[in-house]
Amino acid sequence: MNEFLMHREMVFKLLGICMILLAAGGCGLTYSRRLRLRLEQVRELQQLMMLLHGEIQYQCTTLPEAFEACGGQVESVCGMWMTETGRRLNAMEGMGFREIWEEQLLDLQSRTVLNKACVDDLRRLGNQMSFPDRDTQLGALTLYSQRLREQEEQLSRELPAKMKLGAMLGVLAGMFLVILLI
Amino acid sequence: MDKEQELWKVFPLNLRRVLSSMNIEFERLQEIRLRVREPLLIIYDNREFFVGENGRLNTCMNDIYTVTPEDIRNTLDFISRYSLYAYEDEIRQGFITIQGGHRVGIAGKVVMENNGIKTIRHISFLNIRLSHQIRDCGRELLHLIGDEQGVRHTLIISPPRCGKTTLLRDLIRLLSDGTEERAGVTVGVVDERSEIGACYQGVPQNDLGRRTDILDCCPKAYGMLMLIRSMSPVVVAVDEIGSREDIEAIEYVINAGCTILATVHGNSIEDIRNKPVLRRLVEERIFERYVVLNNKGGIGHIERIFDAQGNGL
Repeated sequence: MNEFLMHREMVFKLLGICMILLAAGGCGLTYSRRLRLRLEQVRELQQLMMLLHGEIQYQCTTLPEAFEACGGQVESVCGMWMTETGRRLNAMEGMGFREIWEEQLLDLQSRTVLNKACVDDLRRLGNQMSFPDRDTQLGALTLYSQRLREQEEQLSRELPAKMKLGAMLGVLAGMFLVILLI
Repeated sequence: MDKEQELWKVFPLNLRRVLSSMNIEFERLQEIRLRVREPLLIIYDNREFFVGENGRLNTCMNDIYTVTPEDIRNTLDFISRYSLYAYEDEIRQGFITIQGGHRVGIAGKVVMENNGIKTIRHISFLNIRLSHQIRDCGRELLHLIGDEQGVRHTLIISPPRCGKTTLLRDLIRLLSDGTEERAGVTVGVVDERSEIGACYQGVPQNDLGRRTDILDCCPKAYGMLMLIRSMSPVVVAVDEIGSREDIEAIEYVINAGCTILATVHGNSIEDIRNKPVLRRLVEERIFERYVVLNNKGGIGHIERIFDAQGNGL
């Protein structure tokens, strides 16, 4: 009877160890996936900014139209976010650009895995969008695109190591927990 | 959405509330004036009124709504759809045309560059001039400036706010669609200030007839030549001529066998004779009809019509 109980206890322990290792490993993998997704979303933003730059420079389109047009061309979370921002601006709800932009940034944060620095840069871009002349407007977009490029380079450079580290840390954390609990 | 609601949408919420609570007939509203830290004013039925917090119209300063810098800034945001940069050229000219064909005059600090206006910053004064299309207001005049063969080269002379653009717009529509007496013809319109067709995103907001081609926001002199070369119009219509280039383009239009319909600022035919550039038009008898307007009998009231020699008809 005792042997059976011990055997059962051992099975549960093994099951527990597997689950902890799987969960911790999963956390590590999720972290890695988020990093890769962040890189993809930064690239989507880069593409959107490039399209927006073109719309403003060559078509002289208004922001709501440009947002909707560019957002429609990039089929992704960021593209949908931009389309939605354009739609809200077009609706003339009676709110200023910055108010709508701020609300939309909160929405973007909840929908994407972009980090705080990236969202802060977008906030600064929104503050500069109310300039009356095109050169300043384009300058702000160029500056923001440059920031995105820097972020993209940094993320691309660090991604393999960070992904590996994330996965390893997940497994190691799991092992640590296993040792601690057993 | 009706025209009234469409217009209120260019104002921030607090101004929307005040303006939409005014007890007025929208068709008789002519202007809304916003000046920073000054009372909100409207021109209604040719009279000026202060607008109160609750939308009440006053002729004295007892109950007034004072326009704030935020009101102006937000209104500009909505007018330009948060994109003042897209209206650089219009700002340089001092106005923006909005949906519905209304013209928003702007004033503030002018920034100069290379002897020209680069932009206007710190915009603190707005004048929203409402565009109302009055159908058939040109029907009577059409009989006087044309016959079954066609219409004559006509210049409409009028001081501001007497309805010259309204009259021209209706003449274009009547010529384009045709009437019981005459078939419709192709009309080319050079709408430099977007006032005639009031195009918004390429679509005319005013009815200019089904045979009308519009060159929107195009300088008149270039536009007239472009139309002749590309759209084969029978009639070319332009608003507010005045420069030497305009006159040369008008001569080109006439030499090309087209009829010209134009308007000019002025009080009388003498006024035109006294303007160095426009004098040539009268002296060389380029126009066959001069129509002088005033607003004594309401907007678009015809004071007199003259022939090419300046004789009253």
